[in-house]
This record gives sequence, structure tokens and C-alpha cells, in this order.
Amino acid sequence: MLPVLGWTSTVLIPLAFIGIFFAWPVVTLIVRGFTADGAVDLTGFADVFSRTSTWRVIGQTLLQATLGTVGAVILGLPGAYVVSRLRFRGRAALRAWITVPFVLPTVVVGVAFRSLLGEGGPLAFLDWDQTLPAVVWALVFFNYAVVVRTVGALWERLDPRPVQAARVLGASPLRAFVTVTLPQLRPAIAAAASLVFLFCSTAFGIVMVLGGRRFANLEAEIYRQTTQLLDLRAAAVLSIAQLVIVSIALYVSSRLRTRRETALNLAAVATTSRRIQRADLPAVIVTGATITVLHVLPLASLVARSLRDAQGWGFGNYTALATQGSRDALTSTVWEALATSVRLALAATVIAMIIGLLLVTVLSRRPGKPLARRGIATIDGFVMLPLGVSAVTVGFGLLLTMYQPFGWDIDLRSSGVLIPIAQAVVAVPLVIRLVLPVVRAIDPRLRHAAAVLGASPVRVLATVDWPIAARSVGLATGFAMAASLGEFGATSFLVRPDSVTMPVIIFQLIGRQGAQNYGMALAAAVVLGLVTTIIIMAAERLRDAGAGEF
Amino acid sequence: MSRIKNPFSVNRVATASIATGLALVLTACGGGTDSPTPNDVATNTEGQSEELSGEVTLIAHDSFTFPDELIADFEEKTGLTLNVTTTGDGGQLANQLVLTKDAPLADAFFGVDNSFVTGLIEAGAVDPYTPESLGESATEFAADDAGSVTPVDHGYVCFNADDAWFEENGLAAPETLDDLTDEAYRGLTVVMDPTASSPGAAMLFATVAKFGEDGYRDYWTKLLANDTKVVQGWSDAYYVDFSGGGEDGQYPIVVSYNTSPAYTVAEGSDESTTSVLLDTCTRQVEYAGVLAGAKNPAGARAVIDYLVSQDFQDTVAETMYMYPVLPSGAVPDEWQNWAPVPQHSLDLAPDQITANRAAWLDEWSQLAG
Repeated sequence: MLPVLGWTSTVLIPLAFIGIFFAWPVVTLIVRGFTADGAVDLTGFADVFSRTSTWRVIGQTLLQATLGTVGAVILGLPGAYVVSRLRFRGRAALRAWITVPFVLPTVVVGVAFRSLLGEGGPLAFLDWDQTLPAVVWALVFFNYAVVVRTVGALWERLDPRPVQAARVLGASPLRAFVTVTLPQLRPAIAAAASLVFLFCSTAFGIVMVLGGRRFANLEAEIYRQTTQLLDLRAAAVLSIAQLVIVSIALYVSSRLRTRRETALNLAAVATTSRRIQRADLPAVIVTGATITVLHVLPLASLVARSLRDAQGWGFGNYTALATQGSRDALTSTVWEALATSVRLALAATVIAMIIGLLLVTVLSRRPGKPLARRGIATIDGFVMLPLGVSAVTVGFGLLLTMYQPFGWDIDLRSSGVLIPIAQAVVAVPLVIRLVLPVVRAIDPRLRHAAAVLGASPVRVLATVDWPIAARSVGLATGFAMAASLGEFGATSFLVRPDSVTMPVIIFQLIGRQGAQNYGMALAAAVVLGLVTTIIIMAAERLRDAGAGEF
Repeated sequence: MSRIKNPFSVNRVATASIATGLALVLTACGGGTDSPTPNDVATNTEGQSEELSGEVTLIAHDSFTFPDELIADFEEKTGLTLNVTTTGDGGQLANQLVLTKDAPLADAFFGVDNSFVTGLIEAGAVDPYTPESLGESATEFAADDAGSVTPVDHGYVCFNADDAWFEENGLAAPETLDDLTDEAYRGLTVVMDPTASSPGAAMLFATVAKFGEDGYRDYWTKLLANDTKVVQGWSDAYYVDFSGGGEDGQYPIVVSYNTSPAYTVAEGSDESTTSVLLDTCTRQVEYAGVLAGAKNPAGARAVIDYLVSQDFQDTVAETMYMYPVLPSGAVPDEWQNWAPVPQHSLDLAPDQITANRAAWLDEWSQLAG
């Protein structure tokens, strides 16, 4: 084991980070909501919960998050199989491409979906504009990649021999999947489902745009109460409701995960994937259809529209990206904003990877003492919370707490450093859920053997854990980058010293009059998607260069 | 691009303000400080001169643009270093400023509009200041009698109609708010949810101004019953649903701005395909001010002075799509041709909006379901 000091700091550094930049601001804002003239005032609960709209909003949040999660998992499993167990040309590009929705600004995606679904659009016959199916479609669109990649990261490492044995013994492919593979994948599926549930229950812009008033969720209601009405009391009550829902979801998911989580026989990736065979066709067809309907349709309409300007078809919108908009209405060009975004995302990714991997090291251990086990489960739940709490609550909370925190003579709020930090806080849960299932599946006996043979704890990490986890670390890096590149919520609630990010500039462009601005907004969104694809492909290549297969 | 002078200029009282930058320099002479260079000096409200130095921070909403060359010009004229920071939209900005009033985020702010500004003043987040240079032409924009904040620009939220659609369908375009509830215009209008969109909220306040606190609910009941579509934001309404937005929408009537028709003039055409319903307009005024507890209050006042200087005002229309508050500020040619300024608008006093905003939005929510 690591010396006590090493373990203590491995636990304390990430917890302090999340405590300071997440828990403290959120608690401060909630407390502010319940204090009136220096006295505690809890009448807000009765007040807010007596409104019928509150219950509708809570019901919608649960319904949408459940449907979104179920949809993403059902469609994502065949997708995970295809991208992790099958070999075909363009697999790396496909893996990167399905992650694109993750970074697209919701305001643009909202317009793209509504142009398809709205009256006059090609899919108007569905009559889905401002309905629940539209919201769920969009939620699955954003989260499909989370399931495919989280589950795929474990699946590509599963030893194929147990399935082969089952088949030889006469099991049908389906039966072999249900009895052998599915139980082994369960921890990763539960991890993915909990991520998707949190993303869905805090989805904001897209639910507002596609669902309209009738399908508003808690996040949208908190936004209205805080930014439109400055009703901190109602916002605090709703934030607590959100925390309760998220905590229950996390508890359920951790029960599902740990009951079946055992060491697995992990194999080298090279040995597990093969060419497409006849038996793979159902999975290939489902995945092809899913990606076509889910991704190609909305994204193609976006790309097609971005290639049209006042002169007709062409790259006019793209050449305009080098300017400051029609009439120089922007403070910087889109390319400058892209550079800012990449810079911030790099900083956020470094922070998220350091904090995330420290936590993975802690959370992957299985101590014998029940108290320690419960401690680890609690930490696991706590570090997930940032995904499940409103960006508005965190953003306003940071404004309240980060003026000269701890008496330091520095106003962190306007220094700009809070932006990558806030993005990292949200990316840490992603890193953990992507890497942890693989690391937890490592047989602890490998580590014990190494330790017995005299390897130091650091050496055990370097020689046992790292080679197996490296691929998912690469994947997590790509996802953390993507999450940060597309992040709009926290960035827009924090104060930005004269640096505009891509999502912000796209938001500015689409909110301004003039067809050229609209065209530029769509072109900028396409560029953001392309850059993300490239970054994710590069991040996944890194892992192969960085660590050989074992 | 050529610029013309503001066509609706009422008078030229404000000639004194033509170069506030110049004023910054000149006031030094009467100040009697022992500062060696006049550039380091500005006046405050009491007319005393004080040192200008160090850094000054301006916070604004996301749509704000302070052109680089003007930042350089400001810094050169004042000797200050100017940091421009941005955050969220106008509503977020206003509420963040109220929330952080004990430890302000900046020295000066820009971009809180007439529907939020009284809340900011009443919370004590503002250190009252209006530059003397602004002159009387700006009094019609004042948020209160005390001159707590300084109006910088203004614009109008109005219903727009797709003239081409109405011509094709042989129907006369509507003219008034009441027309929109007429059976003839059933299912033709798209509006923004006032609880989510600031032009949407402005239009709600316009109906209160027009029909009174008792009448506006009836109006909205009728309007919504006439199959009016409610969406969440302007870009959504204008580009997806409005038939005149160039994107195949189906609704020929939309809530937008009085300047919107200037952006629907086809290449080579001298006519806009859309027009403004001039009887349905409401005015939005954006304010700047000094934040209470600012670290550099003198610097903050210099920033406000600069925002209403001729140089800055000339950029307001082009970069922020709003009319400058100075009658002499430049506006684009197209606005002159296709974006007429309404003769009268449906306005409420800022304090009336602040006092009732939550109640009206709540009532609207209940009747919209």
C-alpha cells in the first residue's frame, strides 16, 4: 500500500477541489435562499411545493431523464458492440464522430431539430414540434456516445473465450449475450446509465427549445427563477429537489454496479475485435439506422444550411468566420474564439484528468473494512454530484464565494481561472465513469503479485493498472476536452475577461439580426464539431502511442 | 460603409457632448489639482477633479462590443487601463450585480435594461452618476429623477409581418395588437415566452401598457386562443417559425425588433420583404452605471463618460443593433430606409416593471399553461 501520507493526499486533494469549487458555492447559494434578514426561513418549501407547476416540472424531469436513459442504453448497446468488437474501415472516425453532439451548442442543435420537425420541415408529418418525443430524441442524440463509449471501453477488453465456450455448448448468440456478456458489462452499463441520467436531468437549452413550456424541467425552472426573477428562495428549494433526485439515482446506480462488480478476465484489445460476420448484421443494422436517424439527419441539415448564403451554395459562411461578423459586431473572430476555447479546454482537461485519475486510484481499491468500503462508496457518489446540479446554482454560488476566498487578496471571480476550473468540475465525473469500470475489473491478484515481488505502490500503478487503463484514459481525455469545448452553462454564468469561447460566440451570432450572422453561427457550429472529432481521434491515438498493449 | 446622422434627432443640445473625451481633458483646467498632466484628470458628479489612474473594469452582457480601437483611444485619453468582462444576458447580468453588491464584480456595468434597472438601483448596487455632458435630450430615457444610471442606447421590440406572405395570400397585414386576436389572423402569429426571453418579456409589458393591468390577461387569453405559437427564444421564433426569416417558417407574424426589416432586403432589391407593425412597439433602453463599492469609482465615471461620447455612440448601432442615445450618433443607411422609428411606443415606467415583473410573469404563466 502507498504510505499513509500518499493515500491521504490522494484522497484529500480531489475532495478539497470539489469541495471548494462545487460544494461550498452550492451550499452557500442554497443557504442564502433560506435566509431572510438574518433569520432562517423555511417557508419556501411549503410555498414552492404547493405550486402545481413545481410538481409538473419534477415529474417531467424524472420522466425525460428515465426515457432518455433507457433510449440511450437500448440503442447504445449494439453501438458499443459495433465500435468495440468489430473491425472495419473508418471505425476510429465513427467513434469520434458520434461524440460530436456532445459539444454542439444547444441553441444551434435546437434550431437544427426544430427546422426538421417544425411546420414546413421535412419531418413535420410526425407532429413532434414541442412534444415529449422531440425532447427524448434530442436527449438520446446528446447521450448516445456516452453509452457507446463507456460500455465499449470495457467490452473491447472482455475475453471472448467464455462466449465462445457458451456457443460451443449450444447457446444461441442471444443467450450467450444475456447469460455471459451482459453480466460482465453490467458495471459499465450502470456507469453509463448514471451519467446519462444526470446529463438528462440537468439538460437545459435543448429541453427548453424543443419542449417549450409544457415540457420544462427542473433545470429550466431554476434558470427562470434565478436569472429572470432573482427568486433565490424558489431556486434553493428547486436545487434541493434536484439534489434529492440525483442522489437517489446515484444510489440506485451504485447498487446495480457494485453488486455484480467483480474482477474480470481482461484481454488485449487486439485479440477481441474481428471483421464483420453474418451474425453481426443485426447489431450493424441497428447501429447504422440509429446513427442515421439520430445523428446524420439533424447534423446533415445543419451542415447543408451552413453551406448556403445570400449568393447560394458555397463557403461564404466559412470565409466570413475570419471576420468580425457583418459590421464588425463581434469582439473577436470565430477563429480567435476557437483558439480561446481550445486553450481553456486544455487547461480544464489537465485539471480534470489529474483530479479524476487521483479519484480513480482511490475508488478502484476494495478495502476489507466495511467502514472504508462505505467511505469509498460515499466519495463515489459525492464526486458525481456536479453533473446533477444546475449550472445556474453553481455559477451564482461561485460568484458569492470566490471573492477573496479564505481571505486571500484576490478576486477569483473575474480572474478567468474559474472558467477551466468550473469546466473541470463537470468533466471529473465523466473521467471517473469512463476509466473506473476498466480499472475495477483488473484482478487485484495481479497487484498483490507485483507487490509481493517487491514492486513499490507507484510501480504497481505504472506496471499493472496503467497498461490496462491507458486506452480508457485516452478516451476520457478526449471526452473531457469535448465536454469543456462545448460547455456553455458555467462559462456563461461566470465572468469572462475579454475572451469569448466558441459556444458563446455562436450564441452571440445566432441572437443577432441578419442572415449572414445566422449562417456564420451554423458554420461555426460545424467547425466546432469538426475540431472536436479531430481532438478525440488524436486523444485516442495518444493512448496507443503512450502505452503498449499488455 | 457610409453613415448618416440619426434621422430622429430632436435637437442639437448635445453638441457639447460631441467629444466627451475632449471634456475629460478640458475639465482639468478648472479642477485645480496639482496633477502635472491634464490627461490624468476627470470630473465627478460634484465637479471636483480627481486622479485617474490604474485599472478600471467594465462588466457587460454577452452582446456588448467595445471595439479595440476605442479601448485604445479611451486608454490614451484617460491614462487608465480598461478591462472589459462579459457574462450571460442582460437579465443574468442584472441579477448577478444585485447578488454581488457587497463585493462588486467590476467598477462599472453596461447593459441592464429598463425592465431590470430599478431592481438594481433599489438594491443599492449602484452609485448614482449621469454625465453632465449627456444633456437634456437624454432625459426622456432616464430611469429615475435622481439620474442613478446613464442611458446608453435604445431600441424597439415590435411585431413584424412578412409582407410577401400577406401579398401572396391576398390578406391585408395586421396593424394593431387587437388585430392579432382577429379570426382573420388565426394561427399566423409566433411570440416568445416572456419568462424565458427578454424581447418576449418586453412584449408582455407592452400589452400591460396598452391594455392595463386588468386588460392584458384578457388580451393574452384571446391571443393564445387565436392559435398563437409560443416558443422559447428570438432566434428560434425568427429563423424557424417566422415565414419572413428566410428559413421556410410558416408563421407570417413574429415578435422581433423595429430594425429587423433592414435585414430582410434581398440582394439587389430596394425593398424589404418584411415590415414593422408600428403600433405594437415598446422601447427598450440599456443603461450603464457606476457600481457601489467600486475600487476605482473615478475610473468608472470616466468609462460612463466615454460610453456616451460621440466616438462610442457612433458604433452603437452597428455593433449592438440599438439606437445611440445621443441624437447625433450615427445609424446605418438601411435603418433609415427600412426601419422607421415608431411615433409612439407602448411603455411602462421602469419602477412599475420592477415592482410587478414577477407577478405579471406568474400570471402569464398560469394563463399560458
